[in-house]
Amino acid sequence: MKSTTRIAIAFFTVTLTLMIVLSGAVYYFVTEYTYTDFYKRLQTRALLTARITFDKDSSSVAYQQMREQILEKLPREKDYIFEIVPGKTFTSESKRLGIPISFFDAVSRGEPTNYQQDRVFYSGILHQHSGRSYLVIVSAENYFYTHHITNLKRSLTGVVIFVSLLVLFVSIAFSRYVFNPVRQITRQVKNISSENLHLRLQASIKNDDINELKNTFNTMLDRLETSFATQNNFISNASHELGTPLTVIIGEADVALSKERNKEEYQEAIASILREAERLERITKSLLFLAQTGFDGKKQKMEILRADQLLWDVKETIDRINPKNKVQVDLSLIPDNPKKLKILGNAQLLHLAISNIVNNACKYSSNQVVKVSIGTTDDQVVMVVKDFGIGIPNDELEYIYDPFFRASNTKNFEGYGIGLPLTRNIIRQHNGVILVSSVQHEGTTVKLSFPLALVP
Amino acid sequence: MQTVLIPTDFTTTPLLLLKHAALSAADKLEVIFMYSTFTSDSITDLLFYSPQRILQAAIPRDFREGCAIMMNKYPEKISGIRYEVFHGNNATAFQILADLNKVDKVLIARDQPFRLHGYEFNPVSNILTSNIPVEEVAMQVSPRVNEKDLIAQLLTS
Repeated sequence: MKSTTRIAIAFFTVTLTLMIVLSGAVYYFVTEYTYTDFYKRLQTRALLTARITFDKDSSSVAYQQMREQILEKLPREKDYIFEIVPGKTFTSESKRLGIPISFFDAVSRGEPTNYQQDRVFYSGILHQHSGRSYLVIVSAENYFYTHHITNLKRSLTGVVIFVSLLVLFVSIAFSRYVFNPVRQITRQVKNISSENLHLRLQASIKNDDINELKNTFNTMLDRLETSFATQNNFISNASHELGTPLTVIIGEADVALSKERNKEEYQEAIASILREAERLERITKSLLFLAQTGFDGKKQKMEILRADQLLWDVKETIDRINPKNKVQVDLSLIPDNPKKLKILGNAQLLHLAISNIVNNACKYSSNQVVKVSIGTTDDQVVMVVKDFGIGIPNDELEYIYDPFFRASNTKNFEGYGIGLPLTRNIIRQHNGVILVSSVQHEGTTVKLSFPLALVP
Repeated sequence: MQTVLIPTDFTTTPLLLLKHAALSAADKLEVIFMYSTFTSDSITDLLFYSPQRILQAAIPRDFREGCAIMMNKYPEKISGIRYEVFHGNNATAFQILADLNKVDKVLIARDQPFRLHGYEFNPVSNILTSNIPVEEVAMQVSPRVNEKDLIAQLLTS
């Protein structure tokens, strides 16, 4: 069942239920009021009947006139007066009138009592006169009950049916109106495929949920488009990076074989071929490692590590690889409590990731000062690597994690563009976050955050 | 126990003042970061006035993390950090706030710009005219970077 139909049915059912409950309540209370009011009228008439019958003075004439001139004659109105004689029961009267004996008993006790038989209503009172007791009973047909209530019932039923149809129509229109923007989004999204990923949903400036949904879709499309572009760039960059050494190898071999050469020339050509083959091997190994450290890669063995020790190990490695480095490890904000430095990770991978960043900082700052600092928040260990090198152009910052991407100002520095994506993969594997901010010609700051390990 | 008040604009400057306070303190410190802002002129904001909500909206996550780094570094010096909102913008109001919080000393940075947003104001002139002892600290802060790098700037300052 479509959501539109479901919403329409729900809306219709709720409204119809409310209407039926409301109509039922109106019917019930009006009926109740009719009963109460009519019995009061009968009691007044019973009282007047008693006065007219037993009070033989001028007031009885006035009561008679009042009854005839002011009070309208009720349909099938009848008066009954029975004297209460000790030892007498009202069994025969009860049978004749079709009223239960309990009615007579209740009136005899002085309780104002009512009784209904089909359309005829009975009301009785106890009247005392000259030391004797009488039952005065008045009966009449309730015209309002027999006619007006039927009319009310018919009107309410008619209204409920009319409103039901109206509500059904409104429910369908309402659900269509509500789902119209969703249908529009569906239509527009259907038109977007991998061939026209540049298309976007038309979002307005209104601040509503539908617009938010459209903007979310558009943001997702932005990411998809970037991802497609990245994939295309990766293929072209990878082809270029892998193709260059192959071209050199083929060229060297072609030149060497084009004519007879001496031993030194052959050696030189083979050495060149070997150099390029080794480069090719390094690139393919890096690519393989990058793939392995991706999210679908194999699980690495994790252990509890001290973040400061990791930094010192990295510093040692950098000193060995690049003795000219000016890496300054700043431990001024390191916590005294060693538990606040423990992180869960794979030592080799983290060492590789951090040394990659520090090495980049040294490389792209031409061995100027590189500051490496560490601190601990309540739940994270934060490491910061800051250099004062060439920086990254602002418009290229979003591509730095693309494999083989190299910023436009790095032509004079050796590299393949695999280090940073590899580092990010490793940091993600450790539930960490890498944040790179940079200003061209001023330097780059890399912030790494790792969750603190829970050490008892 | 000494109570130190630091007017804050939620940049690295108040965090570095906190570092200075921790390094130079002989006793344990209770640190109060004072956030100075005028009250809103919206009747709704005044009806539902809540200092906690104002602070919650104003304090960046990085700043709280910076405070946590300091607390972890100097646990024996900093016994607690809390925040106070200051609306007065006059010396008397500041004096009352300082007296109520039993402030022993105020730390301010010398020759540092105070970053202001919206209704915020610089309380330094009020602080200087009050009776509370003030220590002006000379700082060497590298050029400001955007707020995203507050922790990075703090760690490499």
